[in-house]
Amino acid sequence: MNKQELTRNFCIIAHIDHGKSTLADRIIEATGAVSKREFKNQILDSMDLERERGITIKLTPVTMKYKRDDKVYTFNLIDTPGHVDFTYEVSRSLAACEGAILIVDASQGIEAQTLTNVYLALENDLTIIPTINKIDLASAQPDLVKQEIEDIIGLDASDAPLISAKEGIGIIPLLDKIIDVIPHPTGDCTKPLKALIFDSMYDNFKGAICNVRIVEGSVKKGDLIKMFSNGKEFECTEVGIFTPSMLAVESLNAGDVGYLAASIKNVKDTSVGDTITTVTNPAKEPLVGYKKASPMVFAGIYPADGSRYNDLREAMEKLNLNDAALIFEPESSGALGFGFRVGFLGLLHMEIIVERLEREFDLDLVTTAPSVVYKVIKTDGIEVSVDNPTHFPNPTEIEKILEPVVEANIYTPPEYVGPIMELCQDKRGEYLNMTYIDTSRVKIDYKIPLSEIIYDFFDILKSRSKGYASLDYEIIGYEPNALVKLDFLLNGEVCDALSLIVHKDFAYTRGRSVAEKLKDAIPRQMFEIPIQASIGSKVIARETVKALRKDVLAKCYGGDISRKKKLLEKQKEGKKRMRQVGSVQIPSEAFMSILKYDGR
Amino acid sequence: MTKKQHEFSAFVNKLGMYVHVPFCLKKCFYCDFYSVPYSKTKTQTYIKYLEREIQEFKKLIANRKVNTLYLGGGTPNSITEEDFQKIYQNIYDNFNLDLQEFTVEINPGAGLSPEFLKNIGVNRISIGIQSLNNKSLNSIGRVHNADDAINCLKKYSKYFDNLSCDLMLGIPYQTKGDITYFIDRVAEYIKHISVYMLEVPQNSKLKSMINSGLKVASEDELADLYIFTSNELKKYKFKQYEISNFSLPSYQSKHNLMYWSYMDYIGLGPTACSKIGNIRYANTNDFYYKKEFQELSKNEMENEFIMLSLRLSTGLNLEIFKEIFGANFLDKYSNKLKPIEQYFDVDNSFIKIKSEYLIFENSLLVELLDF
Repeated sequence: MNKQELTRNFCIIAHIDHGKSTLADRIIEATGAVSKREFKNQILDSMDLERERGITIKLTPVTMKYKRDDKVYTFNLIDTPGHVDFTYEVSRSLAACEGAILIVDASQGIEAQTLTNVYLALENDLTIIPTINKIDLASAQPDLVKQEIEDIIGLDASDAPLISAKEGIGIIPLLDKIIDVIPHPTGDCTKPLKALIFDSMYDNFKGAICNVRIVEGSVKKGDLIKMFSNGKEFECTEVGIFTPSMLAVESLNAGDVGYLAASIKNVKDTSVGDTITTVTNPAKEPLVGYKKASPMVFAGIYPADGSRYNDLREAMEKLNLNDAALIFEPESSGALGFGFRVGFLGLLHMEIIVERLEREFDLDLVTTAPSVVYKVIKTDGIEVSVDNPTHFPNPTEIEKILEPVVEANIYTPPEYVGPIMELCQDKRGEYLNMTYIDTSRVKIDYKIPLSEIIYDFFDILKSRSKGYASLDYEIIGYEPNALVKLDFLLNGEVCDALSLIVHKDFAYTRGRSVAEKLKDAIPRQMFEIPIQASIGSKVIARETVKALRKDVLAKCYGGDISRKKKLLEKQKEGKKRMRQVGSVQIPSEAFMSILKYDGR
Repeated sequence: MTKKQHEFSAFVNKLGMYVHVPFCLKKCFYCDFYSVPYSKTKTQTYIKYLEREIQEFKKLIANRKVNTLYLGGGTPNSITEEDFQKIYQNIYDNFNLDLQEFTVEINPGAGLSPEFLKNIGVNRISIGIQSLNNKSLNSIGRVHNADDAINCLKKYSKYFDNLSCDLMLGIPYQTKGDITYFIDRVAEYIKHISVYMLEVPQNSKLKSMINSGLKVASEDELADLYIFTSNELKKYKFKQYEISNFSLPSYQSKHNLMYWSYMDYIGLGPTACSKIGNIRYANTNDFYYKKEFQELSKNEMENEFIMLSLRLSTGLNLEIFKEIFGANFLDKYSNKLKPIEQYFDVDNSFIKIKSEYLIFENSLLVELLDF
């Protein structure tokens, strides 16, 4: 048997808490890839944040050896993230595999997010092993779940392995099934190199590291390599496999999964989906499916305490080393001082970045409302791209505004079709298509402006479908729309950090809702503060923060001085988190509170 | 004493003495001052602790004159005349008393006769009346009623010219009419009145009563009541001289003025605080109290000086500030004063918060001070 025949490349597809990471842990344990001493649960989720949220953001592959009948097999397990922001990353890691284990919870059955990834796996021609997990639970109903898998996905689940990842039940039979069912990789080692980058990360010593699946050819230390997307050339300094820690090997050959280092300084040169070939014997065509990661959502990120701008800058630079999808540039705001305009793949990506900055770098941040990139055609015919409402040209100079629109594919059980269609209509959606996949799944396609998707669409979708609906979307172009810039004035002065671009039909509702939220978020001050929402010079909503009538006035004699001083110090500390807009002080939190989904 | 202390000797010219009497007949529902139920034996322990503390301070202040004496509480008139005599005798024997004011706080319905206090040398009485609405008094757990309070005023006014009383704003069932009635009734007896806004401490009985539906004034209503009260007091020529205090001319509390003008003071008894030069002493919050001390930096002293003197309607004395801290206040704080200057009045020798903005003292201090 040659090496390829002894190799299996696979991933695990599962709903968020159906036990993906736990099963990965059990497989690693069963093959002895990690010693008991090093073992901590959910090893492949390398960030604390992932372990806590129970979701995978970064993919960590692992190579394991499994011995059966005197043959030593190589298993490459590639973990996958499970959120719409990262659909492209998932599709690239699926492309690096021949098979997938589909975990379904024995008591919950199939859930929406699972389906999205199953369809992705089917698109990538993966062999799927349906596997029923948590069979140790009293509420487990494996037979019903098997039936559901057959009905909904159309996969034969009659001999689906029954396992409990938590209790370690049924793991060995599952490993055997992987060998028996999942095809081994193919690909000619003698052809020119085609290596698929399915992830990249930054290492302080080795530079940017590409996680690769060798599709054809082979690569070793010393080879001159070339990136297909940008033509940049590097000398390969190391190839290796993940055990899950990095272990250098002689060479990587067609069918292998591993890493490649080449003193690459910038992770942006290691784009997910790109193909690596060699300079001396280049492949003619890249692998299909490469898409340049382009941020879709932009927001301002500022330190809550303005004096920590430099700390924020350093933190952004460090994070950027590991996250090629993250782009940022300095910006300043009248209200928020110095910060950054940051581009994200989507709202979850934004949430994760903000949380990592706060947690890993001990920063307290203010983020502005997320915005998409608009194309503004000015009256003089010049087209400008604007990702920050503050930079919108004057209304009199605007000929028309184009906004990005997406095709949204929503998968849902039929009972939620009504509320979901209503949501899409409310969000300026244009109906495209509806397909009954089977009796229990419907796919609804709408054309929707991206700006509506990034506001609160996903939250509402989840709440209206009790969590069952899933969303996938792809930008399909730009369309002109009747958009206006909505400004908010505090005590007569525009607060730049609050400006929004909205459809003119929604401006009134949105203006009123933000003004109301501001009224609650801004503490009373020694004077009355009018809050106005305006389009140009036209005020469309108004609220007032009444003047403060008095402070907490306590008596102050000899024994009260220390207490009073503490009170003032606390108030002073709170003031540091206040932003000054003209004469008005706004707590940093207020900027966030207006973004929050309010349960509509 | 440390050498540093003498740098500040310029304004260490007067000395006040406070004695905290921690006993009460019953704890009021809003109270978070340190107090214990009265007991004869506990009083003896308390007196022993005071004696020990008096010896400590005697060494610290050498032969400095004590200019004011103030017995507060708690309820100082919950102890017996014999025990009161013991405490006073001990202070008299150990300090160089040159008393311009000797105040005792009393609560209606407890002991200590006016004759006794007069004979011992007390010349000012402060009565904790709080309200003349029996429903209100009852709701905050006071032991006395309106009649007790008026009788107490009548009784003590026969012996004392310098009477003060407390009025509490924002308590349950209180109306503006109640405040007018209160002032009309007490005005003929008193020369001084302290007006306090109800504070509801986190773990007080009142807090749980409010949680179960008892209504007290909101922040806005309190502000209204405060402005209303100061106007009512004007009718009787009471003039505000500090955020919480009003008096007829020349009847300001000399003892309390020492705190606000940052003079030295000695505090005896549980939770009492002292300031001698740049050292603050604080007694712990228990019956068998201990003394903690802290050396104040020049910046801390400057902050305290500003924070306290801006409570006064006369404001901060610019010359004294310069004398103590060696800087011109208006120059040193010009940047911070600029955006809030409309809230202040400045003349040659004083800067003060305009009377209508005194209720924003905290907000203004937060703008002004760096901690």
